[in-house]
Amino acid sequence: MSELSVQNLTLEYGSGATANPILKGVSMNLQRGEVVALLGPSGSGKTTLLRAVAGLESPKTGTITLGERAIFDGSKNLEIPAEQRNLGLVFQSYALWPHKTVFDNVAYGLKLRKLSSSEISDKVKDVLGQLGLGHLGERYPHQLSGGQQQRVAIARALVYNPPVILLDEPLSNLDAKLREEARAFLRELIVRLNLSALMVTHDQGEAMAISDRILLLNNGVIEQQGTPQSMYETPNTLFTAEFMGSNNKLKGKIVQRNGDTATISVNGEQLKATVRGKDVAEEVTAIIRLEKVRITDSHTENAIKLPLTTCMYLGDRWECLFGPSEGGLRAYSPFKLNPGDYYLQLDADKLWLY
Amino acid sequence: MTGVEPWNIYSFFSIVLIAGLTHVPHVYLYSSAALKSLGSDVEEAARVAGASPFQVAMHVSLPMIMPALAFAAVLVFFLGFEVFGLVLVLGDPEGHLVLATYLYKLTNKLGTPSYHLMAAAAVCLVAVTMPLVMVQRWLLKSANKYVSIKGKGSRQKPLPLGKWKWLAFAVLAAWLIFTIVLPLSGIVLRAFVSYWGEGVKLADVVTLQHFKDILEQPSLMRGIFNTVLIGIIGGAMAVMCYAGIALAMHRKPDGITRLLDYSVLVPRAVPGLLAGLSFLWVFLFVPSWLEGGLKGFDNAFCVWLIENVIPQLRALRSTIFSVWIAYSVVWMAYGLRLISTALLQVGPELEEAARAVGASRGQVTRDVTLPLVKFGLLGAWLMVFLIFEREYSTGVYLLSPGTEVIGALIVSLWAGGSVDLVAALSFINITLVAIGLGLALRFGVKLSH
Repeated sequence: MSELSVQNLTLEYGSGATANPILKGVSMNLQRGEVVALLGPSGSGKTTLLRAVAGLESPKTGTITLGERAIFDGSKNLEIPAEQRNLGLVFQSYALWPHKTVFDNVAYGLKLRKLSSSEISDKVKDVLGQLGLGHLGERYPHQLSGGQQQRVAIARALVYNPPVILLDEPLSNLDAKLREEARAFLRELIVRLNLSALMVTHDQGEAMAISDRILLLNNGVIEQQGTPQSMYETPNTLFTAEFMGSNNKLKGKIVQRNGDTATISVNGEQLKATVRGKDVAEEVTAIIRLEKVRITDSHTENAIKLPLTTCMYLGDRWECLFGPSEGGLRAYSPFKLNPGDYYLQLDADKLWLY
Repeated sequence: MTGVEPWNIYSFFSIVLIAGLTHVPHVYLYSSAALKSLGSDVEEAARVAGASPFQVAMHVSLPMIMPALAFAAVLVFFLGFEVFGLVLVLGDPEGHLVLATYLYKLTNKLGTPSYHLMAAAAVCLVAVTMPLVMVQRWLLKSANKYVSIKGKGSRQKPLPLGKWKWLAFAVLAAWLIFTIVLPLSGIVLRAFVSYWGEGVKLADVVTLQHFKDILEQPSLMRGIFNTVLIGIIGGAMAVMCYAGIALAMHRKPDGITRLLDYSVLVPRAVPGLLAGLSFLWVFLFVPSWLEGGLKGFDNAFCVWLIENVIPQLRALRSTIFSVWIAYSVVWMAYGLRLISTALLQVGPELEEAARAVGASRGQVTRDVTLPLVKFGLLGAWLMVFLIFEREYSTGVYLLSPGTEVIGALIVSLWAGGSVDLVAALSFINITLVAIGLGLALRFGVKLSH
């Protein structure tokens, strides 16, 4: 039995003729101890889906079930209010109450559940200790750093042991350096406490690092779902392939096709490639990840010859641009390249056609 | 003093000018709030492009606060209907009348109040002002497109004025002198002298006699006490009622809320004089009408009501409570606006976070919203105190032994011609307001958001 189950959820803003559909039939399951990331560009509906599960938005049709309990059912007009759903929600802006101390912020949920003050004190101290905030109980939110505020927000959501914790873009409010540390911290915490979590993010790197399963949303529907590895290494649509990594994009024409393999013509050159999309037409888009392009001096199979335009230093490697920026190729190189012509080898199983 | 009359203060033009000047604070409050919410960056962009401070003001700042100015213009138009005391005092010598003073004098001269005329006038006024209310609300909505989105860290940097500094200073100084210093000093002077005119030496006529006269009249002393009471306690009670209503309307954009938004402006749309009169009628006629209606039913509950509740309703009329109700209802739109603005400052996420951890709506209000608007409520209390203190026209028709307030007393004393007492009472009123303001500011209440 899943911890959280969403079936065919639709949601609109407004009503009647001017209704704006945000979610157009989304279904997902979350098992106990699993971390699922809702990934997508702005406007894809991922935050709306999270808030609908939390009870802060009203869907139109569909069902949301928490364990055995139905918390939303469009056909029966059942909608349990947010305060009765017993979920933990971590806001993007943390939303810590400025007039309460850290201790009171975390304790509020327990106070509402009418625990005795000694029990409250024990649980709060325990959770603050687990998150490394033990000494900050009497401080006010404005006296904390961004990272500390985030941990208080997480503590507040965890303290009453909800079955599922919901996180809305947990890392986007932190600056870049802090984000890397927080990413590791979050993953370790979730694994250690065996939490079931649903996380919203627009950063595919974050999604892949923290979650066990990714749901990629595009315009209110789920484009593809799967483990981070399957999403990255075997994308089924052009949208998924482009969203999940750094890519080279080429336009070409299919010359010959044999099931899953095909030969395409790109700027006069013939290349072997793999067909990954469904209903692929004669005019195709070919995608290859930057790190899969091999740079060689000499003529090889399945390669395009291009002059070097420029190299950009990234610290741990160089990103080199070949040919024009429109229709050219980018590739990684461990050291700076001398100007000249290069052969860029595109392996057939890494070159995907949509 | 100079032997020459610089201008005729009793001409209608002067009255209009002075009325306009007294409305400057309202326009100032709205425009300054709007100007403060303009990030410095739009003005700095204009300066970098080459505009002088004056051009920046004309071409950038002014157009961007157009909605606030339009809103203030409509408000000032309303308040124009209200103008009563000014015309009462300055209009007499040359016989200038406005609607409010006309109706007031009609009652005084004819002896019997011409209720039907007043009711007709009130209906006409509401018919004129209701469309204006709608215009005002429409202006507020379209104001959203002028909201400048403040980026991270857009600070408020003062615009250096250069040589325009002195002109701006002169304008401000002139305004302060003409509208505040001169009138106030006139009143203070008049309250402390026994008579005044050409050739009188100040040292000879200074006296405290007027204040002693006030001490001897119980109705005037009652009036002062009532004014303080209604300002402080009445103000607090009014703010609590407004807060209750505002919280009920908070973040609930349904039909009832929209209806309330419109209907609270109706009492403000008529001059205070007529509003006070309508409350008089409520206290006069509603008990009789209720009694008549209940007499028709012949059961014990109705009889109990007739014997216990109705006389209480009648008795209310001669308590200060009737004045408090009139004031609170007339100024409800203003008070609600103050409190709603404060409530909207609380980010919705803070309330959503409380709901996510399990707080019911009532608990959210009690534990999150109210603590965070504490200062807003105190500020509202101060504003309501100031308004209740200076109110005069609403209480005029409710004036009776026990319901005197300074404002209404001044109006009736003026009609009787006792300028000395009027000046002394005015001085006391100004002092009360100043003390209240000083105390509040001392305790950290801020006047601007």
